[in-house]
Amino acid sequence: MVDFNNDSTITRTPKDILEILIIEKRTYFIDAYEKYIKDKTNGVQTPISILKARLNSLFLEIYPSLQKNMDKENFELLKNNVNSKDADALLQAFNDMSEFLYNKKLLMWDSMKQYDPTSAEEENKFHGMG
Amino acid sequence: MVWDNSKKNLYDNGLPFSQPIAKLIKEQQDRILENKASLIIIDGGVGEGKTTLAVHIADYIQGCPINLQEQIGMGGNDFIKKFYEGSKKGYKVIVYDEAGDFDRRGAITRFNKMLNRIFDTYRTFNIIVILCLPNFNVLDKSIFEKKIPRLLFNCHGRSSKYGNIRAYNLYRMYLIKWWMTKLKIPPQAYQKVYPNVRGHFLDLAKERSELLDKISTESKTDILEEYNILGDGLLDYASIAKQFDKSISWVKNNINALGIKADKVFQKKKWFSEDVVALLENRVGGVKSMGDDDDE
Repeated sequence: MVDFNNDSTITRTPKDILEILIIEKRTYFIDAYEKYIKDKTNGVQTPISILKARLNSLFLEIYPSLQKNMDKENFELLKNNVNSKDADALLQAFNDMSEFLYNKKLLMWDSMKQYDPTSAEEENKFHGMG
Repeated sequence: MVWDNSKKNLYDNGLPFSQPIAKLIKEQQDRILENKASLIIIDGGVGEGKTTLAVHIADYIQGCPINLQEQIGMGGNDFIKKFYEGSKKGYKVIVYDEAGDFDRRGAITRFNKMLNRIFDTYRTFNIIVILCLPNFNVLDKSIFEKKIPRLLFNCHGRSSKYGNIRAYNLYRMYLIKWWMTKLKIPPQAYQKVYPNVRGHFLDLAKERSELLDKISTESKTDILEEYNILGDGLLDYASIAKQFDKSISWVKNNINALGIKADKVFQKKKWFSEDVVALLENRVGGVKSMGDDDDE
């Protein structure tokens, strides 16, 4: 969790802090979903309140960006899913928000350029030996 | 192991080697069109088919069967001569076959100097050079720093029907070189680095294979003959001059003055027995030797 009382937050830009908060909230939802699936598999009746609460946190965190960048129809659909009491709808909402964040490059960890390893010169060029 | 000449000489792609290998060679042809240097190395143990593969690749690059007499240099001196002559004739590819070149002391150093000299100037010739060596790691690091070697084809585990190839680009050659410094058994480095491509190749057609054998044997016979001469303890003008710390012309003049005949003449070079050294010593000690003034 980001500690706003920590002096190191002063030296960071708001963008950096916000990115960390978004990733944090996303992780909390994944943890809750993990527990939900575990209990469901064991046959335990599990309320989805914690899932809904954490998903809402994530939604509020990126709400301004979603509203600005998504088309109205998709935004309304997402909002409905976030407010749903159905676990599948909540998961769909989470996936839509994740895709949005990936396109914004916040979640893009697999950005390494791909090359054909059977092409000797392509690989040579990739490694600066062209 | 001998090739089984009763079998086919071409795969279904119409080539004597696998299609992925052809793709790699095509990249080198494109490189030459961009006026960049391209050196293809073929290494592997004795009898793995290095020269056979080199001829296949050269034929593919040339677009027709190469002239085995004019486009394969057996040893360093022969290679330089054929390189420059080949460039004048417009050949697209020249092959260097090691042919026992590296058995002599200082040979690898001379070879690296030769390569550096050629590649400092050869871009303008638009020729792809194919080197056949036992181990690509003998090449000087300056060649690699200039990014001249582009492909390494390692021949291994040849059977009577086909040879095996592991193809590596320059990037992976560097990895192999690194592994060779770490491993107790350096040749295992080829297994540590995954090749860009694996492939196979077939033997040459019977007549061509016999002609290649003939050319290769002739060059090796010359080298063997020279070894015999050295083994007999014979000396040439240069060796005698070194012993006296004099010039070659001084040695020639004094040998002629003494009327000493050569014990052997091989490839236009005269070879003398060690007795000539004692005769020259007597001459230098007792009589004013010819050519002393020249040295002053």
